[in-house]
Formats: sequence, structure tokens, C-alpha cells
Amino acid sequence: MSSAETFGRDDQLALLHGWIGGELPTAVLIEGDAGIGKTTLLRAVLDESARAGFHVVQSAPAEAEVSLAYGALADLAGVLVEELADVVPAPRWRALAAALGLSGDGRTAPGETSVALGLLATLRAAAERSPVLIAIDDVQWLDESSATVLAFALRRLHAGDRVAVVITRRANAPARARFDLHGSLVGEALHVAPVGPLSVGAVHRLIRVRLGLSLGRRQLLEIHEACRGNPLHALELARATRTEASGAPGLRLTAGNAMDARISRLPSAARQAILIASATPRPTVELLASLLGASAVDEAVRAAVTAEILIDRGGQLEFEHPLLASRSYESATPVARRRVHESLASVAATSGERARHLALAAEGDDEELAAVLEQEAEASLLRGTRMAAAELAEESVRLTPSSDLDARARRLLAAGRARTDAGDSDRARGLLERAASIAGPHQHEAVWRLGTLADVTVGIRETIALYERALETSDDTLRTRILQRYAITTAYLTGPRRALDLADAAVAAAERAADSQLLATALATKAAVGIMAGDPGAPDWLARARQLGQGDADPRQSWTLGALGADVSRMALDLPAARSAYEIELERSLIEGEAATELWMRLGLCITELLSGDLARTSEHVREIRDLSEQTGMKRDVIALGIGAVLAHLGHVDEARSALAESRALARADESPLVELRAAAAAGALELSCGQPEAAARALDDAHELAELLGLGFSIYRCFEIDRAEVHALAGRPQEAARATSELEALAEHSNVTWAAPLLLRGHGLAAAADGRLDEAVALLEQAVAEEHLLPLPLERARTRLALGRVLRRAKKKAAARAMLESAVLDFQTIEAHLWLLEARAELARIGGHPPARQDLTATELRVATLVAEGRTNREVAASLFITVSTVEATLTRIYRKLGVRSRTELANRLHATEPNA
Amino acid sequence: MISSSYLVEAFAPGLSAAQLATAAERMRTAAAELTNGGTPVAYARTIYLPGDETCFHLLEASSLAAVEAVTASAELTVARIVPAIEQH
Repeated sequence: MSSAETFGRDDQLALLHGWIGGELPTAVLIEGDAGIGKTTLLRAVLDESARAGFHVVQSAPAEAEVSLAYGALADLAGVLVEELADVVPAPRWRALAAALGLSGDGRTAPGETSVALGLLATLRAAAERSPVLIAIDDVQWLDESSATVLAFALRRLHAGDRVAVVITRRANAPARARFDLHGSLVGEALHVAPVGPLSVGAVHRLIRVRLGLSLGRRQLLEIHEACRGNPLHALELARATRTEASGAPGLRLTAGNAMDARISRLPSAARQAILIASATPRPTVELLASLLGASAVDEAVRAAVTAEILIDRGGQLEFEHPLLASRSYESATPVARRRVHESLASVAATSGERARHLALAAEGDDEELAAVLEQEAEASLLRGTRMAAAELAEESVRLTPSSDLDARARRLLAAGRARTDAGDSDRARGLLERAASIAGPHQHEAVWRLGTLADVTVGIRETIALYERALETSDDTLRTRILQRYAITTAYLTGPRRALDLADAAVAAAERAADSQLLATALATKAAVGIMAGDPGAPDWLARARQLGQGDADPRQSWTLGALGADVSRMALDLPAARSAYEIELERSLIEGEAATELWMRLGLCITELLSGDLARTSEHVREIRDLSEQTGMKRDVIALGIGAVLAHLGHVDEARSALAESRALARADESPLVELRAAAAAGALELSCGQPEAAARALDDAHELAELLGLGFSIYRCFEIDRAEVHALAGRPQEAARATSELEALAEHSNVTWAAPLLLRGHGLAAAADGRLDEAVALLEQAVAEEHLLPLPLERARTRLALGRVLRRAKKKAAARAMLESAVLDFQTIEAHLWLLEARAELARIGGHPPARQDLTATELRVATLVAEGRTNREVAASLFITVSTVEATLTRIYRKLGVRSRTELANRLHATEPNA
Repeated sequence: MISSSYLVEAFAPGLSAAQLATAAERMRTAAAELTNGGTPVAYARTIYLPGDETCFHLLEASSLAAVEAVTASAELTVARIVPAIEQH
């Protein structure tokens, strides 16, 4: 198809240009029957778009290329990856480059999510330079790996991303791969251009231009009726009339027969060359020469090119039209097709290709070939091409003799695992259910894997039922793995007590299995659950796990241990150890391209930095987490919790409330009471810091109920009880305040945690103060401050000082109160805890008896006023506080009115006048 | 002497009424110019089939070559020029 004319499609072309030249991102689907002219339209669009300044990247996958992992992605992104190596963030670039074989050790490759994130980053970098047009001709032949990665990346395009997508799709062709843009911005912007039949006049013009034929009207009308306006068929029929003695007999042919006839008129070597080319992705003259002989291939290719079947692009062969390829393949006998695949297997460049051709050459059961395919599937998995691995695994099942139940079950299990890893849950479930129905050594693992699928896709209760069934196995290695997952799932659903029993059972099974690496991860799981339960043995279990896990050769075991260890350290408030472990595992996840692990580690690091009071690092991680969450859709409840906690700390009250409410709702819907508890506790702390004790009480009571339900022991997740004590104290309920503190104290005694003491002393001090026993309160709080070095949480230390300062003021010890409150102000300033800073300043202002100007301002107003008083412009203030310039201006207007000032200078002076002396 | 009718068939996608009138006028003008130049060609009529995207111009001329000259002068992309017989 070399003509640039689009024969009667000018209006449609104008429409396509209009869509692509309009608002980006956008997507256009050109759809129609085979041969109707979709590719011609597409080529016209690409030419015009290139002239208009688009950077065009394109792929035209053929039916034979469906199994070629990342084949289309290599076409689309190969050049971009090389051009933009210095611009795309390194971890993202590495993931994409490794998938395309441009970097990495070739032994392991990143997961599809990481490759997709790499593609997204690369497209955005390219779009910075010029708008990008992605063109895929015949999207129904897209290989699954490329389809997964492309769809994932395109669904995450934002408004303003200068990317356009044009795809052609054959109407009614079954799609091998899911390429679903539904529900995304670019999906909603999708324009559909159905391509219909040509008119009589257009067909006549086509035949005249392409074949130089001018037809009589009767003949033209007959051709038009026979081909129904399909340009490819019209050309075939017109060619057929050219070779017939008269026009009429040729028209009794169908277009398909006409194609067959055209091929059959060629010499035998040319026909064989065409069949070989149709049976393999990316055929070359060299390949044909290796099978047909160098002397025969030139003549064969020349004949096929002359007959307009093949195009020779410098040794790379393409079909004039994909229909010619499929027609050639389908019209060959099954014996001929098998022979071609056998010969292609003998010259295949890779073991994967060889395996695929052998599978296509196979007739009926073939255990030897099934075993080869099984091995090749395993190798594919190690290379990270999960979709290709899944296809090969399923082929191995197909060829397994039905009488060999053990082999069938094993291969069904392997195929199910591969489909799970490839993200195809529905197909995975079908394969695993078949494996689970075959009694034997693989049955329990199949049931377990169905359970892990249910965990992600269906729900916790079904998961637990499947785990229980899987535990009927006597294989201790498998039992350990099941019990570990079961323990973590149970901890989140029903609390750590039952989970600890399961973790104990996992350790016992690992010991029986005499596998030290397995035992290491089982101990780490037990430590993670034990910390939640407040079990004093947790640190020792973790230490033992780390000792056993040293020198682990299995990277997957190693990171599980490292990641669990990081979580345990964080929960035990060993923040330096947690930070170090998270950073190591984060680096590992970036290198291996594991997006899910990267998100888990960043979340852990984010919370660790927040607890440590390092807000610069916290904010950095929040940005990355937001991007990753949006891009992957993973762990939304925990992410909303983390973001809410950070926003609350920084004093963005409304956004924090919204994020924490979202977290609670998501956790409730996902039946994750532990996450719901943490979100409720964070919400309570936020309301307390805003001076809203009633709202705080409601949220904290919810958290308390959940903690009781889960049977949580003393841990970082239980410390919100001190906030409950404070709320009771503020409400004038000293007995309740004391009771809340004592109950927590009882739990802490069992867990033997040293950092509990300062918190408990604060609780008791607040209760005493509420009861009017001020001297006792001062003594208790002074002791809490003296022991604050035991508590590695800067925020809690500062809150203790604030509490003491308040009580000292009430006890009329002004000098001591001022000193303590000034110290609290400094601490809150250092860790940027804005709301608590306001509380401390307000308390300080009460000591001097001055009219508290700051007290008249809301938290937001005071933040704006402070920054303005420091000399920042409105734009700088807006950027610092993540608000708009117009919001800053409106806020300043209110501040001026409230304080009775008329300028920035007066404002600064007024704030300085009410500032405590340094 | 004008002796024969010829039907000119041209591919004409999506013609509006104004565009059709323009096409007919171009043929008429080209025929008149050729006639003035010494080769008599008479423009008869134009028929448009929108569904077929085809326009037919009926001309009377002494030869096929004269009609071809008219279509070239009118810059028309011709599919066919065939002899025709009219019956009123």
C-alpha cells in the first residue's frame, strides 16, 4: 500500500487531524473490517502529525508476534529509551531499559508495573520536548506484555500531558491481550472513527490508481457488490479480472480465493517463502535463506515482491497486508504448517522462540515437548517476561498426556502462578482451580495460591477458608509459607493474639523443615505480629531471624526478611535501625523494579521520618508515595493514613481530616480493622491538636473499641490511649483520665517496653491536674520530662513539655512555666508541628497577660501572618503552604482586619510584640 | 461538425450543490474555450450520483481527443470517457 491518496476518506481524515491537533492527551480508535483501509488512514495521519511537529513512535504487530514478549514495546520505546537516558529518573529508566534488553544482567528483569512506570516517565520526558504520538496498527495483535505495560502507562496520563494515541483495530477480531483504557482520562477522551466501505466511485479511483485499470460500469458495479466496498478485496478482484480472458469469470471468485489464486500462481519456492514468513514474527531474507537455501531465496523473494505479497525492506520482510499473511497461513494444510514450525524451531535464535515453534509443531500429547516448554516457562519467569512465561506454561499443560496427573497438576500450578505474577487473576484462578481438583502433591499449594489470590481480589474471609484447607498438607515447607501469610492476614483482621499462635506454628514447621532461611522469615513474621501483641520476646525473635538470614542466596527470601525487620524496628521505635533497613530494601526494590515493595518501603520510611521529626525527608517521601499510589492503585487505605498523618502534623487541617476519613472508610470496606484503628487514632490526635476535644473523644473512643476487639497489647499502635486520657482530663473527668492511663500501664508492664514510662507519667500527670492536685501533677510531669530520653519521639517529648508548662502556669509558677513553654515552642518549631506550635504559643501568651493577638487568628491565618512577617512575598507564601495566591491575599485581608493593621510592616511589628522573648 | 456524445465519468466525493455547480461551470467554460479555439465541443449536462461519489458530464464533440482536451483544461480527474448515445 504505497499510495498516499486515501480515496474518499478526506472528510474522515480531517476529523482525525482535528482530534489529534486538539486537547491532549487524547486517543483515537480507527476501527473497521480487515482490508477496509485503516492502515492507509493511519499512515496519512502519521505523516501529517509528523509535519505538525509530533514525535511519532509506532508499532504494527502481526498475528505471528502475539507471543513475542515486549515486541511492540520495543518498537515504541526502544529509540526513546536511548535518547532520554539522561533525562528520565534513573530507577524508572533502568526498569524500562531492562525490559527491552538494553541494560541489566539479563537474568532477572523488573515486574510489569515497574516497566510501565518507566514507560510513563519516558513518555513524559519525551513530551517535554515535543508532543508524542503513539501509533499502534492492529492493536488486536499486541503481545500481552506490551499491552499490559502500555495500558497501565496510558491510563495514568494527566491533563496537559502532550501525548496522543492512535490505534487501529480490526472489527470483531478477538483480542489476545487486554488493552483497556476505560475509566481513565485518555479513555474518556477516546474518539472512535469507524471506517466503512468505499463508494463505487472511490473503488473505481482506487483500482485505476493502483492497478492502472479503467473498468466498465457493469464490471465496476459487480466488483463493488462483491467486495462490499472493501478496498483490499476490490483490488484482489480487479487483479483477478486482469488475469482472466474476460472480465466475468474473475468475478465469481471471492477476494479470499483471489488472494489464494494469486499466491498459488507463484513458483513453489516463493509459496514456501510466503508460508514461512507468515509463520514467524519479524521474518528476514536471512531466515528464509537458512531454510530454503541461499540460491533459491533471492528468486523466491523477488517473485513474492513482484506479486505484491511481500515487501523487502533491506532484508526485513513484511506482508503487503496482514490479511495476506493470515490467509497464507490458514490456507496451508496442518501438516505443512507443522513442518514449517519444526524447521523454524531448528533455526530459532532463542530458546523461547524454539519452544514456541515446537509447541505449534506438536500434534496431540507430547510429554518430551511439554517438559521443554515447562523449563522454558521457568526461564521466561526468571527473565521477568511473565506473560510469555504464562503462555509457555499453558502450552506445556496442553501437551501433557491426560493420564499423567502429577505432571498435569504441576504444570497447571506453574501456569497459575505465572498468570498470577502476570496480573491475570481471572485466568490464574481457572488454572489453579483445575490444579486444586487433582489429588496429589500439588493440590495443597494450588489451594494456598487460590487463597493468596482471594486475599487481593475477593476478601479476607474466603482467603482464610482457603488457607485452612491448604493447611491439611503435611509438607512443612509449604505449611510454613501458608502459616506466615495466614498470620499476617489474621493480625490485620482479628488482631495479633490468634496471629501469634499461627506465627508460632509457622516457626515450628520451619524448624521441622530444617530450612534456616525459611525459619528466618518465620521468626521475622512472628516478631512483626508479636510487636503488635506487645509480646516482650519480639526483639529477640527479630535478632535471631537476622542472624539466620545472613548470607541468604535467595533474593526474595532476603527482602521479605529485610522488609519485615524494618517494620518490626519501626514498631519497636528503634527508628535508626528502621530507617537503615527501609533504605536498604527501598534501594533493592528500585534495582529490581518491584513497585509494590517500593511503595511498602517508602510508606515505612515516611512514617519513620515523621516519627523522628525530619519533615523535609517526610515530605519527599509523601510526594513519591502519592505518585506511586496514583500510578499503581495499591494500598490506598494505608497511603491515605500516612498522608493524613503528615498533613495533620503540618497543620493542613481540612486536607488531613479528609485523608484520614478516606482511610477509615477504605479500611472498613476492606475489613482491615488495624488500619481503621490507626486512622481513627490519628484523627483523634488531629482534633486534639486543633482544640476540638469532643471530636477527638469520638475518634479516640472508636480507636479504643477497635484495639479492645483486636486484643492489641502495648505497642506504638496503642499509645493513642494517652491522648484519650488527655481528652478526659480536658473535659474535667480525672477518674476516666486516670483509668485510661492505668489500663495502658498494665499492658505496658507485660510488654517490658522502656519507652512507655514518659508517656504513662504524662497521662498520670494530666489526670492529677484535672483532679486539682497540681503539685502532684507537676512532680509527675517533671519526672516525665526527666525520662524523655527513653522516648525517641520528638513530638511526644514536646507535648510533655507543653503539658508541664500548662500545669506550672496553673500553679502560678510563671517563670518555670515560661521556660518550659518556650522550650516546647522551640521543639514544635524544629519539627514543624504547626498546630501544637500554636497551642504552645497561645499558652505562652497567657502568661504575660498581653492581649493575645495571635489568639484571634486561626491556624491558617497565623501561618500566613508568620511567613509574611518574615518578609516572604504572597507567591512564596502560597508555595510554602500549598495554597493559591488568591487564598493568601484573602487570608491577609482577614488578618489585617482582625489585628487592626494596615501593612506588612505593622503586621510584623504586632506579631513581634506578642512573640515570647528569646 | 459535432457528431458524437461522450460521457465523462469522474470521482467526486462529497460535492455540495455549490461545488457541483462549479464543476459543471468549469466544464461548460472549458468546452466554450475549446470551441472558440476552433475545436467545437458542446457541454450538455452534468449528473451527480452522491451515493456513488461519481459525477457524469455529457459532452458533444467530434472526437474523444477533443473531450480529453476539455477535461484537461477543466483540470478534472477523469475515471473514464466513453461514447454515449442519447435519446430524448
